[in-house]
Amino acid sequence: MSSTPEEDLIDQSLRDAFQDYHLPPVGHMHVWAGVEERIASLPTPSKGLPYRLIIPITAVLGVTVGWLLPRPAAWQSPPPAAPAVPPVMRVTNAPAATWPAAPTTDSESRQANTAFATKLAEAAAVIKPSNSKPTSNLPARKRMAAATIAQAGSPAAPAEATPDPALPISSDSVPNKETAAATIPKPQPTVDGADSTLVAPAGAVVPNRTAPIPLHAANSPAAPEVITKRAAKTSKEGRNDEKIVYRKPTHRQPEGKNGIRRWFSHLTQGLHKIF
Amino acid sequence: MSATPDLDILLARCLRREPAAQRALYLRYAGRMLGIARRYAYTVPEAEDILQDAFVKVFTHLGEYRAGGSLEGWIRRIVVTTAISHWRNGRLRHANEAPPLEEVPRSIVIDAVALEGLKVTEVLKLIERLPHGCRVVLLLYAVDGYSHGEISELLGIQESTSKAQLSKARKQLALLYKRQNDFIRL
Repeated sequence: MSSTPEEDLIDQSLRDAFQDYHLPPVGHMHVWAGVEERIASLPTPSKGLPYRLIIPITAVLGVTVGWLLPRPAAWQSPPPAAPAVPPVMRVTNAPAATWPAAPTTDSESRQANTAFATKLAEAAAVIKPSNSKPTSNLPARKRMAAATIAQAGSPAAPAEATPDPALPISSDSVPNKETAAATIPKPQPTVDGADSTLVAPAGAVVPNRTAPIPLHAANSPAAPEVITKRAAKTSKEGRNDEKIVYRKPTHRQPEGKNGIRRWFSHLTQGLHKIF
Repeated sequence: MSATPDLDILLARCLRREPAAQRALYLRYAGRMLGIARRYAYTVPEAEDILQDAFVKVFTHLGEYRAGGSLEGWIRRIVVTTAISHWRNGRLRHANEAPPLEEVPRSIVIDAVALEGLKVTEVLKLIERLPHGCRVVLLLYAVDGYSHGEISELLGIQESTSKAQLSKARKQLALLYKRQNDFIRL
């Protein structure tokens, strides 16, 4: 709406008329009295915290709360109990302990067993337990004997049954006391407390758990490997792994970049969030 | 914050709620603001009520004043807004008592020059005879410099309504002035 010059002139004349129009306040001081009364009853504005202090205080509070929160170490559960089957087979550099020749009779085998046990005990005494703790205060010979008795007490296969050399050895497959002593000398338990960890004689390198250990024939004189249950299990699993073909998780496969399914899932997720 | 350092000091003291400073600020602007309030009111006591409410708002919200504009302009807007608020709340006694004017003939020609010889009191008397809506729009647009958009926002009306009210107010003012002159001549 454009204004005519006459309209502009009347506006200008009104502005000029009211330009210096004012009423002296001296005659209206009762107005100030009312204003003063009303602003005196107003609550004083609280200053609060200045903005410069808010950020440092927040940072200090955050650090303090973070410091007081429980640490990740405290959240960890206590270490699990030692497994029934020790998972580790270590390479040990025991002093020289030669394997005895295969005995031919029972008496010979007993004597050989006893002699070998003595040698092992001496060798174990030489080994310095650098990173291990002794399990008991018994002398090595007594512990060896106890281990031998414990092994003999377990159900055993017949003496004549010779396991498949290709199969890994487990403690279950060890025959009775007599045959066990005849085939594989009972090794010395390690000093680190792992009861079922067996120690190979001097210079013998014990394979790790993944490598299957063949069982030597009962009459074989050379059987320097020490085998654990775990090694046997893992070797079986390893052989089974060759045949296992895992199912493809097709339902988790990534979708195409511009797939309509992805677009639809985004849309439904968005709607789900909204509602 | 403002042009003069005295005013800066005065404002700082007012922000600290010093009564002497508040009184000084009131005395500094009360005369002009009472004149503005008087334009929108019908009587001086009504203008004083507007002034009192406006200065209470000024001292309450003085911390929100920024240095962008002049302090006088900021207080002036508060006074105008308070006056409009009084009118909308029906607190102005003569809001509905203005005598109804007959329809202004469209052929009337506004003689703007004639208004220049009138005094403020005479112009006030003429304006008081206008319908209040037309009067407020005329004062807001012609005297206080508000745009039609601001007026429509302030009064809650359409811009076209504001323009129509302004046109009507001008014509009626001219008609009133012509009748007054004719009456004086007779």
